[in-house]
Amino acid sequence: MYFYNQKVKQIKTLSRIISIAAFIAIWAGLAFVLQDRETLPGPLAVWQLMIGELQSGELLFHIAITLRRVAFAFVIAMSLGVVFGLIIGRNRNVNRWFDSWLLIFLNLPALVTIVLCYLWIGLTETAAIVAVSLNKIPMVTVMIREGARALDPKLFDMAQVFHMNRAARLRHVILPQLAPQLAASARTGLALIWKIVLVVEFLGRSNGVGFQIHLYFQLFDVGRVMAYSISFVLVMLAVEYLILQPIENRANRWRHA
Amino acid sequence: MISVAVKRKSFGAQTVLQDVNFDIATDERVSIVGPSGVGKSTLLRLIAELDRDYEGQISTVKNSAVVFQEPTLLNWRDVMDNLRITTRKDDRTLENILAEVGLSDKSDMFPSQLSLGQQRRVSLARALAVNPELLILDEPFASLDDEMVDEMLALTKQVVDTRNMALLLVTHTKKEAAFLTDRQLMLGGNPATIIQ
Repeated sequence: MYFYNQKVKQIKTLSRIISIAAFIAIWAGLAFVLQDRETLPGPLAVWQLMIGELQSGELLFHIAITLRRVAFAFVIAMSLGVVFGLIIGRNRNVNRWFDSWLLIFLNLPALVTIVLCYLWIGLTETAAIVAVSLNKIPMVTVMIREGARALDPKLFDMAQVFHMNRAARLRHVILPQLAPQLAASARTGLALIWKIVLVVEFLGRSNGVGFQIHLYFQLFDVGRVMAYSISFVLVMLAVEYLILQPIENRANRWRHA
Repeated sequence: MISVAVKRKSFGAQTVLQDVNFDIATDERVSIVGPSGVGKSTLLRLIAELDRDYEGQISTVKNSAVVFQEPTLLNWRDVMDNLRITTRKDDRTLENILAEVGLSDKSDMFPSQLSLGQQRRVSLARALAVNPELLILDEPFASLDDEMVDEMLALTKQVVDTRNMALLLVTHTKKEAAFLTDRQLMLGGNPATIIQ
């Protein structure tokens, strides 16, 4: 069984590598056919630009700025989304009052929130983070609300009989049951947040990956636009594989026991 | 002394329990027997203070523990953590109780790795760990095969015999009631009341 699982794991990894290699090959093929570095530079050209930006220190500086914004917005959106989701999910009356609010915020275009935050708060760091968080909070709230509705009432009885305090109930009874919703909202949240952060930087910040993309967009420098985008995608993939997935695997250990 | 005097318990317009009165002395073993759906578990919830929405008065002990119909374990925690988190007792005490219910070698296993009978033992161990003055058992042998029921009955009797506590068993099986308790109360009628 162990060797079978190892084999399956190897096949999965191999398929992933082949898939990425195929993507790069298609990109290189298209670049070769077009023969226009201004419009579509090949993978090697973009790689060289990435190395250049890395050596100059610019790439790391702007990635760090963007990552900081992503982290702040992620923590705020997840924390408030979990709290709102739990309150709305566990209380029908509250849900009745706020369900339509959620629908409005879910359907509000990110661009509107960003522009309004910049107009109301000013072109500041606070406005940028608030705008990104506001875009994500409703989505986390809805996902957690669905999980909160399905919490096992028998476990609440057990917690009450054994006089578990509120903190223990939250940590050991509620949050573990919400693990699938937390994992899903964290994953989709991160993907959404970093994209919105780039738009926020594009529109109203003077640093960050989004600002750099804006700068090179004005200079029609497709290569550097791609270099910054791909670099940040790689960083977010690293966050996914090195942070989120190990946490999720640990939380789900009992399911595979 | 536990004193139960439930005048009425209703769900909406439907009255489920009416004039249910009985006492349980310290270290007395009492069972409530009745057919499925008669209101036994509803009565148990009132006594366990899980439901306070009723007419009447129940005076019970401060320190009671319930073995639920289902094991109600934290599936994401191993056996030892299940006991540690819910009872807040030290590891030595918990290890002794696990040994008592025959699960010494299962402390680091997740509930899903245990059989239903073993999960029930964990649930019993958890209740015993708080050293209750009143142990409430809600159909604790449901869904077990006959052999396992006999085994669990013997184990439950053994652990109760070695402790000074009152026992309240809710069951639909007279055999279980007779084996574990000194006094059997029949719950019946609609709305249900003590009929014998």
